Amino acid sequence: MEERLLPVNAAAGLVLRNDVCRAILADAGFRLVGVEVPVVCRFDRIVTVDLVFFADEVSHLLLCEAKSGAHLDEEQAKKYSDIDPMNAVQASRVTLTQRVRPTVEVIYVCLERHVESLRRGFASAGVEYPLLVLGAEKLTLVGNELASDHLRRALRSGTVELGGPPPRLIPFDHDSDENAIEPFVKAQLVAELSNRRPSVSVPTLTERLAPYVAVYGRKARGVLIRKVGNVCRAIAASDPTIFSYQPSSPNGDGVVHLLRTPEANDPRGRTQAYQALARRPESRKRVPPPDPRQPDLFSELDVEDSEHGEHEADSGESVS
Amino acid sequence: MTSRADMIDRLSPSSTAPTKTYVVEVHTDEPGEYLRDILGSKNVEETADAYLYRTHIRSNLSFWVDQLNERFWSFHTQDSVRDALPYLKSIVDERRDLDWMWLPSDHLRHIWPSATARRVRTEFHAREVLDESSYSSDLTVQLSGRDAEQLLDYIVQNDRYKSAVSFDSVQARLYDPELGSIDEALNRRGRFAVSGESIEFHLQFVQSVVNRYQLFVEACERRSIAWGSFSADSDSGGLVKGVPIVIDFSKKANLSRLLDTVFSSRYPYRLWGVPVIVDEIAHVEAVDLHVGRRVRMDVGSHWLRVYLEQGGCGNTVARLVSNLQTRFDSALSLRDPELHAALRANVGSPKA
Repeated sequence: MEERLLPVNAAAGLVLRNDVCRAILADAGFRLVGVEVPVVCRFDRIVTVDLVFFADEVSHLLLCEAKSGAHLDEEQAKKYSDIDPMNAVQASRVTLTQRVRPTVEVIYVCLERHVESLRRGFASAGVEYPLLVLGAEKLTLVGNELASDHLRRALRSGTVELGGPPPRLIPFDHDSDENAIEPFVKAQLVAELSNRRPSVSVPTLTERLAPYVAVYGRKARGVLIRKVGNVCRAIAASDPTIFSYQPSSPNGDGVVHLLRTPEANDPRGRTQAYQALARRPESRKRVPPPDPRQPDLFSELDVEDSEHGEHEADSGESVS
Repeated sequence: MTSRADMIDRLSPSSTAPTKTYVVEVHTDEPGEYLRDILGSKNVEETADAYLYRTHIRSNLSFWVDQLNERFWSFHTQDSVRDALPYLKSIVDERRDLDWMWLPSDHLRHIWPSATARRVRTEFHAREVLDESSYSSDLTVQLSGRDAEQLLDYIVQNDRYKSAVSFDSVQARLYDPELGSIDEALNRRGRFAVSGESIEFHLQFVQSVVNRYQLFVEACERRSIAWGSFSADSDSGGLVKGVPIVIDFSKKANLSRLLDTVFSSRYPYRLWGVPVIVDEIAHVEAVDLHVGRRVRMDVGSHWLRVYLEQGGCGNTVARLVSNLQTRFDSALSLRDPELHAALRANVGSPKA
């Protein structure tokens, strides 16, 4: 996963129960209620909040800005300080089950090495927010005194061991480099081949491999479709016997034609054809075969009765 | 017109011609039409029962197809397994919307309360994944006799071997004072064979096994990751629901070997993928070639994370788990207590 996507995935992962990572926000009563939510601030300005968490029992909204880099958008940071809790409620569509005035707090999530740069940015913008800092499998709350009781309860000691790498809910997005997107496009094309589809349009391909892109809005979707199209062109150029790419035109979307599917082969040929699709020039060295000093000598004792092949032996009929 | 009672009368579970039942998972919104499509219209005959069909494939092959469970169809036959199974395999293999059941080991270990196991077979083949330091990289046990499974319980008590005992097939005598006695054989691919007194008992036994499996599969699907926009007409954000499913290993994996085996596109996993390893964690955008769907996975040396996407099939997870149990670690567990209980065929008793 690209490093810039670690903060948003790490933050979203904090409410996923029974995952490799600890669900510290879920344990503190929070749940995720919105992604990429535009909220109207004072003076009718709008800020798009990356992640909105909500603690039902106390009607408390946690607005999370996931910073992928070191640069702080100061204008955006000021907007966050002007958010009216009532607008945040409406924008995120939460249902207030308790007749308690809703409260809101803002937190930034960032990588460890960007902390100082962001703090300088806050100072320059005249704002202050707690920072949830992502290190190697740990999270640290910086600016503890700025956090609400609800958030401090989630990170009692200030640093929490996550237990594993963040989940890849958003493994790439519209800002990703085409090289980063390529493995996902290739996998989806292999899925199309296995379904024996003759072709797939680039918009359809994009929706299938990134169902979350609709949440990011139409502009982001358009950018991603263009990038996926470029990747498709490159894949078709490298495997012209299997894929061909028809660019988009005023009359229609870009289309990938699937010329030859491994499914057309017998089982052994099919497997080999799929394996060929996985090979890359820089592919990893194959694991060596079992140690020749310990051969399977049982096979030398007798002739096998049953037929060997790819499939396991059938059972289930003989009942005595 | 033929009725369900006719089917029950004609399926005679004798020891010379045992009745076989093959359970197939099907995804279709038009079951009658779909059945005609896969078997050929001229081969399919309706009955008086809206969920039951009679099919005549050729002179030595016919099935009763029961769609009463609309997702897991039962194909009953008294014809030879050498005729019936290859035919069904060719059908399932061709279609991405058909799959077998992939029963976890414990679903075979505990097939019926107070059932007396007469024959058990375990299969564990992990030489490709485990290195020479492993105490048990290959373990096959076939035991016939009363309470056959107890030897395996004994082996499992030994820490060296507990992750190498994976049930593949079981044959047991089931008895009920009202329904009578039947001898049932069942394997991990959801294939049944029965002889005895009561075909009704057999049909209900099959349904019981399927129900338990379906609970597991549907529990996985309830966790599938689904994205939705708040509005189709404006850019107003959205929401994600669902959680990844985490499989915990009982022993440390040799990551390279495990990845090479699991994502080789080969049987039985039939997963295509190009793992990318970063900091000893592999990220894989895999394709489940059984059903033709992408499935994202992260693999560490002690766990594996599966991201089942909306529309994805819980059978993918069940298949992965069943194959990992027979090819790497029969003592694996699921981190989610509800899923783990369903895996252990012990719903209501969450993992300690």
